Amino acid sequence: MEKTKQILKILNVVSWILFVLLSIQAGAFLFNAFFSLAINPVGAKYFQRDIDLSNLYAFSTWSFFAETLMMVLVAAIKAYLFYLIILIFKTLNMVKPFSTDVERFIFKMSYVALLIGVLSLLGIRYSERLIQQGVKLPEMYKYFGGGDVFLMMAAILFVIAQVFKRGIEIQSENDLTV
Amino acid sequence: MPIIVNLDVMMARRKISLNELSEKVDLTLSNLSILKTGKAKAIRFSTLESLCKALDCQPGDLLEFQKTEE
Repeated sequence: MEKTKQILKILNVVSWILFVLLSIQAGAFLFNAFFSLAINPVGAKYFQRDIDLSNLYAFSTWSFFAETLMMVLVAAIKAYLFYLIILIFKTLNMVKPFSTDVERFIFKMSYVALLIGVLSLLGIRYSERLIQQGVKLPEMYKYFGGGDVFLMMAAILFVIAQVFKRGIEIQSENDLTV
Repeated sequence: MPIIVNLDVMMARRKISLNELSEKVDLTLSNLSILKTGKAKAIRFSTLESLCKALDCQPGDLLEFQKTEE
């Protein structure tokens, strides 16, 4: 039990770090997209340390908007996913683990993971289409990669949420058994 | 629920308070209260046995089935 508590503490810290990093990334993407589109197109060249989207911007402003929008959304939703994980750690009670709050968070996480998966797959397909049209794009797999993993995660989380739902029923029955 | 727990009726008949019964049957007040107010979803045979012993009654005196329209 002590070991489990320690592992949960470490996971909580890791979740916080990832949440902060992903929030910063989403904010940076949002700012750079806005800066490139509304203030100075040169921002597209220095979109991120290793992302030069100047070719995409030159190809089409709309394509640039769509691509960056998906990047912002994926990063922001990933940050939200880690926020949900933090909330789970906050509400989790190992003595009585089956609570409606945790069940709600797991359900939310499964929908959020599904959304990330779909958006990531859309992002990667869109990038591939742009490359086929002759646009030179940097390695986008870094930002849109793992869409299929998120889809699988969504399915697993949904099943876990269903099991949790049944667990809550059994726990409440147990609580009301005299 | 169609199963009615007549614990309060039996307690009144035996003139025993919830605190006294709690001490006799070794159940917490909150658990007895759950049973008395009809919130309980299940009752263990051991609990039923100790209640019957403490109240000097039969399980049928404590539990009653009432038909309800579905």
